[in-house]
Amino acid sequence: MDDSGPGRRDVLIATSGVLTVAGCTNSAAVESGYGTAYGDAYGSE
Amino acid sequence: MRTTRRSTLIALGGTITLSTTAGCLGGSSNGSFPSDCDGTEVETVNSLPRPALGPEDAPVTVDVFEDFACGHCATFTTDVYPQIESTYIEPGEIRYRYFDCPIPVDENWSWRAASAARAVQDRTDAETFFSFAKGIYEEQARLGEDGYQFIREVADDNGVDGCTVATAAKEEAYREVVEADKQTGDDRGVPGTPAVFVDGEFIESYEWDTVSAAIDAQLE
Repeated sequence: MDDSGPGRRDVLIATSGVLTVAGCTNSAAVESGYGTAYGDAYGSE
Repeated sequence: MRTTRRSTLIALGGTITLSTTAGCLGGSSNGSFPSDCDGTEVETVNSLPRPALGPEDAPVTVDVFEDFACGHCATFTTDVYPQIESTYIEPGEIRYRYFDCPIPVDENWSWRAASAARAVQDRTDAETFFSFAKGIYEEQARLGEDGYQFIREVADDNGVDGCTVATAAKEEAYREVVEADKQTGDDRGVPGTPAVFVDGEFIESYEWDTVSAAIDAQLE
């Protein structure tokens, strides 16, 4: 059976692109487009 | 003349990513003003030189935008800044410039602490400003506990009258100076704090390896 593919893909997606350095910002800045240079982690606080 | 805003505590929650090293100060107006400092007067100031270290003609300029209530700024100041200081500032390889940038992470203390630091600078020099700032960041959580007393103690430790500096914080005597810095940050697209620029170029991380690599590249 080849039904293990989707599960492995989910794991890869779940572990990718998370390890970025965070900083302090506000939601308004994120919504207005700021924060892209810091990745998704920016705006965590 | 200045209004003292005492708003209710705002809990700034927030998701924490895997690599997050510190959270930001939860908003608060906690900490009563020391009664024995009552009656201290400070003037409102709307212009002040930029706090900076290193030779003015250094080959590289590093600009850093910070918020005194931001946990990441505390991490940067206590973990990364000392390495920048010993590696680049003291040898005279960079001009290091500080910009206030209240997000504000804490609607009260982001502004008050910035005014306090500028009051210290106004009465001393850039070196003492950075020493005071380091003292605040090292025990940042106290801003939300007994902020005025904390500011007073750190000022006294740096040889500046604590009541005067606490009053400058309470009255936000340097708010216009701080707001001008924040506007500069907005104009330069600062996405959050700490934001590090090397020769005008935004650095995507405040970690030592990234910052030092950017500086080294400019020094080559």
